[in-house]
Amino acid sequence: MSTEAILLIAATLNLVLIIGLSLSTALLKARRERRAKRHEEELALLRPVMMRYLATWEDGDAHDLADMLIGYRGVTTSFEELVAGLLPKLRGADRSVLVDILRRRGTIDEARLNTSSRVAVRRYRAVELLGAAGVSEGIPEAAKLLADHSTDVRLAAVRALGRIGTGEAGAALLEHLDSEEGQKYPLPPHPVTMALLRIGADATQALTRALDAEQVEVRTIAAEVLGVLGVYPAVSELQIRMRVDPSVSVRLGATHALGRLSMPSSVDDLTAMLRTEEDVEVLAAACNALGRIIDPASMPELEQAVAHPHPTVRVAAAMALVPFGETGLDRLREIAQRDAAGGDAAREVLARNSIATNTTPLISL
Amino acid sequence: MRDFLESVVIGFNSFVIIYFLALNSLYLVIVLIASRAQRRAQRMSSETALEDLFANPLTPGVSVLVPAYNEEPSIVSSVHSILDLRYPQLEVVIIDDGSTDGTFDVLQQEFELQPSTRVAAGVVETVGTVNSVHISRDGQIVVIRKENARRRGDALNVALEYSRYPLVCMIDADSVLEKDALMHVVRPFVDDPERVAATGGAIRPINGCPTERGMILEKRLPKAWAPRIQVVEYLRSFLLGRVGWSAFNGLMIISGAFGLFRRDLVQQIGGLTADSLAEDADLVNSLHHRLRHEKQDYRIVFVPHPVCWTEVPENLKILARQRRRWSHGLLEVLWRFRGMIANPRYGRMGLLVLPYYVVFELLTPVVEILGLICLPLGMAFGILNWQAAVLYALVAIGYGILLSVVAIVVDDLSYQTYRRWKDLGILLVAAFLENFGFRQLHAFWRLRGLWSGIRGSNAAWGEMPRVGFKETSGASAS
Repeated sequence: MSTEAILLIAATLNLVLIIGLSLSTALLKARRERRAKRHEEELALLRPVMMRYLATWEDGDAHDLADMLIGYRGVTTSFEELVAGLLPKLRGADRSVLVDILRRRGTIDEARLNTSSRVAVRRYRAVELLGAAGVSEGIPEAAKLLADHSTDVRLAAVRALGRIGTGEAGAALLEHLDSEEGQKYPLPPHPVTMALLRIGADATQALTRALDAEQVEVRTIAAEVLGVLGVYPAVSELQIRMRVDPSVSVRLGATHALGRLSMPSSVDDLTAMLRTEEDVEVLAAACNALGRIIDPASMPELEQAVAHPHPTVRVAAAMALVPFGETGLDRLREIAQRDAAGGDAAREVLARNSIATNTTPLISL
Repeated sequence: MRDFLESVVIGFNSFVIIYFLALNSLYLVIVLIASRAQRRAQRMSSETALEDLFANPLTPGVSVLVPAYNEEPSIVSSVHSILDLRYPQLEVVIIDDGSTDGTFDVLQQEFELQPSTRVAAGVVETVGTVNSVHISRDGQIVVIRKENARRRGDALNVALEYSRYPLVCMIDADSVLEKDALMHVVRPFVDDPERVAATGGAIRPINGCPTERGMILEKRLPKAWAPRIQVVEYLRSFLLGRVGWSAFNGLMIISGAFGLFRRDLVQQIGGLTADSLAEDADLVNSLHHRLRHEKQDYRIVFVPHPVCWTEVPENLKILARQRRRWSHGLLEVLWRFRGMIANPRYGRMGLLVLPYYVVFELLTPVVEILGLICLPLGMAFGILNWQAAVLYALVAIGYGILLSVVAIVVDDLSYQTYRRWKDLGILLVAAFLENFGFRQLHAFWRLRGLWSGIRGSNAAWGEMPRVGFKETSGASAS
């Protein structure tokens, strides 16, 4: 075949592809617009029925509306979208009623079945729906998907368990993390903490147990979440973790938690940390914690920390002195006069405080 | 003599055809990888994940670093757009890099800045002296005034020194971000905290979009053809190129207009190279270099969702300067990391990505310009017949148009950024027009940039005259 012939074929192919792609984009755009219009029409029909049902179901005479919603088969996914949009806004009985409609439509059973689908996107959507509906019968399926080979599906399962929101869901999550499967299919801490925070008080027992878990990640997550949830009975366990845990991340998590819980009984351990700890982040967290507890006994240690070689610790210690009021500010003013380590942090914190409170810093900047 | 000339022209044309085939095949592979990744990202996008990210008190804070040099028309809108972002914990660190206009004055007036002091981390070396630090009453905005060191990298290093949060987002002062922009680019960090070192967001030209207080009211195409063609270029580059390379963990560039990095890693590599013209690409390659050298398992991720809007040059003179700088910068980066090229120690970065950039990005303008010279010469001397020359030009142009059309199709199927029928038409026309004049000019500008890089001439980070955003209300319209 001659070069010209090859070029001619290539040029023709290009032209066909360009025209074909442009036309199919236009066709798809037109179809999308038609579907969007149909979708809006269906929503306009469904929304008032749904609202009327939610407003009247308690009276017991809304069976017709319920039957209509259960039997509704639209062309687009408007029903599911409407429900997905409403579920997060509803609480209590209204929410249960809506979930019941989904159950009677077979949507929940279908989603549970789809969690075993071979297609990752189907498993993903199914577990998202179970989470949005918050149905506890979905816990085994969601827990199973924590070991899915697709990371996206695993993360969706974590979010679903958080939204289902029972102690059982929290325990399933923590058990998975501490298991062999959990090591094979790891879960990032951030979505796990959020799921546990959503579960809230129901997860505290499992979280307190998890402070003794084998895996560092599990102990860290448990410590952080206990602090955010404000679980005061866990203070002594957290103090132990902060003192003796060999992992920096666990000590950091426990220090954050003790700061959030702000119990005076933690002051001795926290000041001891300032003397012995080497990690900069943990030291800064200990300073923050002492700044929240505001026990005068911790001031000398904080003043020493203002002269720490690392700027993160210096600034954290200086900031921790501000909540002590005039006494703390006086100490900072003294330190600010120094040129040596600590003076810079004290000056920064004083300046920031004066701007925030609209006062003069009483030192030259 | 004629025989010699004939063999040169025919030999060169054969080389161009082979070069062209190899380039097209690689593009095709990248497009296939990109469309698969794009489809997956689209089908598994989750609003609940973003909700959780926002609601979680343990979401990492972000310091947004904004280097500004003579940005008076747009800086206030940009800062508002950052402050209005949906993100639980952020601070804005603006570096007024020796501006000679009213950049600092408009900031001070708008945000009631007060002179302050701040402890620098003391980890990264900086060049320009810091003159003063100013903060807003709530402490969320920090403005650092420094001497201009004629390098954006130095401004960012100073900002890095004064930032406090574990993630640093580097943006251009003229960037306008989507409401959920930070959430989209932070998500890979929280979903894979051990491995993700940096993320980059998709950038789109803002010219023509009406804005209010740094928020885009409607996504529209620019009025002029030069920025319209740049819209097509951006679609092609971000939706095909970067998505493809990212899926392959071979992302070499995260645009300076919007990128997010782990602060500790940037500090470990000593910050940005202050004297680099392409400090964004330089930073990403420094990370690759360090992490691959240490045999770490890491990812540099591109987020295809359109998150950042930036002003592109409307005027050809400024556009030429920008493209010369990019080409010069690319040469600089590739030269600096030449030890990685074809070095198996650096895995796919060394064996595939960097060689690709040398052969198919850096040298493309040379081949293209020589091709443009050889084609008419060959015809004039009767070495090439005109049918073959025309067919060759048609294939080259057709392939360029095809790639642009694919990018437009991907955007329309995935994001529907431009919703009007008229916009779809304009984009298709721009994809066509780009190949008649603009592409050739672009090759010429890149060639000049390459030449200035080879000569080692000094090009500095300078002013790009801003038109300012098209504010529907307020005072910041230019």
